[in-house]
Amino acid sequence: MNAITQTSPTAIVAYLVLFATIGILFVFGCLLLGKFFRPRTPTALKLETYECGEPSVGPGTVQFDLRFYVVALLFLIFEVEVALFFPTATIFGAATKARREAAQTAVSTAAPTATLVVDKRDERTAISPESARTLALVSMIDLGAFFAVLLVGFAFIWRRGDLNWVRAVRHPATSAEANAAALRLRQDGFPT
Amino acid sequence: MSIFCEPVGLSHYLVVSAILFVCGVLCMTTKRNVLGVLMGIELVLNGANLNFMAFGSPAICGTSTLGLDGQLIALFVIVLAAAEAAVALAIALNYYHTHATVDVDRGNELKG
Amino acid sequence: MNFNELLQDVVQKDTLASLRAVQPELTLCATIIAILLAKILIPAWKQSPFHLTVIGLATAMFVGFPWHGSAAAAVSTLAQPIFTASLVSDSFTTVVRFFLLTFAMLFAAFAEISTDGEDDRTEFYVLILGALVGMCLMISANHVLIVLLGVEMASVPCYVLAGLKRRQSKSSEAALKYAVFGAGAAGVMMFGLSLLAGGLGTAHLPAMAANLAKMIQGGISPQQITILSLGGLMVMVGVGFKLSAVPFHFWAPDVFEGATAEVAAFLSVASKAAALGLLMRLCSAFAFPADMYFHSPIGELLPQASLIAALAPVRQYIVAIVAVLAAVTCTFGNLAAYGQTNMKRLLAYSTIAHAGYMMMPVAAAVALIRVGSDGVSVDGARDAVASLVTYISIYLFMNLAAFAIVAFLRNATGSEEIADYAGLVRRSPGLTVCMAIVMFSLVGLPPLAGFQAKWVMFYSLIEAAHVCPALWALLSVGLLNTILSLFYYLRVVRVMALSPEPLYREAPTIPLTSMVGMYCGLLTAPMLLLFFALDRVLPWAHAAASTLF
Repeated sequence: MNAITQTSPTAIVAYLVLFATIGILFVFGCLLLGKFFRPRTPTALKLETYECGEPSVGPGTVQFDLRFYVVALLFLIFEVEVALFFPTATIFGAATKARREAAQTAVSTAAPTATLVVDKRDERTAISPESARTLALVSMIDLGAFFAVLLVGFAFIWRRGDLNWVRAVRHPATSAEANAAALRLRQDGFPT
Repeated sequence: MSIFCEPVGLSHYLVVSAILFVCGVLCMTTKRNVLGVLMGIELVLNGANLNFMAFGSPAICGTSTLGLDGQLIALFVIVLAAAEAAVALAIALNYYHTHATVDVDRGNELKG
Repeated sequence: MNFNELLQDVVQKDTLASLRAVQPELTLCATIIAILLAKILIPAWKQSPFHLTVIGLATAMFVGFPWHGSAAAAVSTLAQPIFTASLVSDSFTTVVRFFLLTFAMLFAAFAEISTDGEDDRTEFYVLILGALVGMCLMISANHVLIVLLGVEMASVPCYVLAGLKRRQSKSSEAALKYAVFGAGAAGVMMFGLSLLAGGLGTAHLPAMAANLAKMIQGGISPQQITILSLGGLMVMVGVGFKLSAVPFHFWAPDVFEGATAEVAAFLSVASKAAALGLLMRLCSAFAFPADMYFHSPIGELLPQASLIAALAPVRQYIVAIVAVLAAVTCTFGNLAAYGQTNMKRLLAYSTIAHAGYMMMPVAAAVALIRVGSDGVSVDGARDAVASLVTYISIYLFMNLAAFAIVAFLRNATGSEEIADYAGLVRRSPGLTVCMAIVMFSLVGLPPLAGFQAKWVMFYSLIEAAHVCPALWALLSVGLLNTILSLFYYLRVVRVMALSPEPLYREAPTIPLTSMVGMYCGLLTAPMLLLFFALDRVLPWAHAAASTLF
């Protein structure tokens, strides 16, 4: 922050432009240099896609099994919930730390206090051990309730069979159109 | 061109988020593939998120900030976006099962 | 106040009081979990969880009902900010939530009768209840975060509901369109809210309005005006989408046609009522930030009258946007309904038109906030809000009945085309009469409840037009549209009653004494009863309005 405010704005832009130009020129310069030096002998074998030395099989853009997709969707939901854990976990960590600090200061001083915010050790942000305990407890209960609800949902999809790899066919295709669609599905790939 | 000459502040964040928003809206309106449209929506949401983060940071906009509210809303937007994306993708998957395509334009059974 | 006291206050007083105030929502959540747990623990249980749903809804209605005496007592219920003022629990919340739960109860009965023995019943009820929780959040939102959460929680289950008939290509197409447009609108709305919240330096709605008033008093720069009005417009995109207001309506006919009639009924009533509740909340927060909401740590109080006086340009802006949207929505919905041959599409356009009618009292309410030398007068605004709540309560029965009849006829004939309803009067006279009553009520003809709804609404609009002359135009648009709408509703009745029966099939026989017939009768009866007993609803509506302004 200080370094930025001390340098003049024009100098910053000048540096930015300089580094960007050098970077871009370097990339293209290297490619251009290689073009001059490398021998050019294209053969059918050389133009083939490199696949670890093995003979290449089929195009690169194949369709994955759609079942991967379902698993990915479920993963997406259960993974992002960690974002909601984050604030609660932060509070829990800070509260337990504050409580430990308060317990340590209690040995040396008469009034056991600690702060949640480290750099502001004043009256308004001071926290008593009881408050720290309440805070930790509340955040734990909060998280527990939240996670329990999530687990119910998880158990439901498990029971429903959405996680099974080999799935029992529960809904036979009703119309000829659905059959045709399924056939097309097997034949061509996922549009890219 | 004063924006290029001053230290990074609130306006820079707003410009980036506005660019993200415009890119997202363009992507939403011009793409024919559902996945492309969903990517556009994600861009718009990321723009909103960047706004919330910038407005919520005392380092960026001084005293009149959203504070923790901004950061919390940003967290929730991430989760909401993921939930929405998961549902939309599942619906797209189902659409692919019945139509064997994910082009929104091909959806012409219902006259829009 | 130091940190320890603050913490004690939040944990012990605020949270407990808040949990008491959101008992209905908690009951809904508990019902969802109970249904899921029941399905997990008892795999042999194959029936639909209808009974659990009804028990949950009844409990939610019971705990959410303002038991303390009459509606007049509910007037004295003060607005109570809950969960550190991120939600607000007042009589508007209570009354509209009670209407929503009543609707959900009738709706669950309808779904159970019409789709007996189908798959995916568990998912259906869980999604309905989940969407209801979101809608309850929408009508009690007091914070940007809750606005976002509520809108998403109400929308996302609806996307899935639209596509619940997974094997039907129409249904999956409807779901896709709904999800893509909905997610886009929600994204734009989030961006708009980020601009508003950031520009005003807080995310608490009344505090945002207070900061805005201060900014206006202290001189606001053109850039700020641009950013804030852009933010406001983007928020209207999201709300307009939920309301299916023109030009964000294009999903409605497709989704209504592709989804089942049951889901369409839910979308057209519950989703719309919640969106109107949210619109009303946003408008009231920005037009009239009542000082009882100021429990947020950010908002420092200004003298009430000067603050509200400073917000006059904001009110003009809101009135202009809402009035123009209402007029356009109403006219477009009615005009587009003419060419429809599919009953569900016709009802979709009718829903759009009614969204237009229901936005009119919102504009009127905001216009009717007057700041004079002798203080602030809000009586007119309260009447306008009361007319909106009355309209919602009557609209609930009308539209549910219309979609219920469509669903029952679909079960009987397998068709949703208007032409296939021909000659229904000969075999099922009772059902035809029900349909006729519903249609006439949707037009707003006396002696039906729809007339009363339109009457109170136009009356408040006349009041508002005295204050803001531009609203005379809105009033005339509304009246013209009412006449316009007569013809296409009448066409349905004409086909049912006068057209000859087609040769290729017999009209279905649905006597009024059957389960289905009795249900239709149950829904149609309020349309006659409420015309004569509107004074039973009005006190509730006035109670709902009393805490908003």
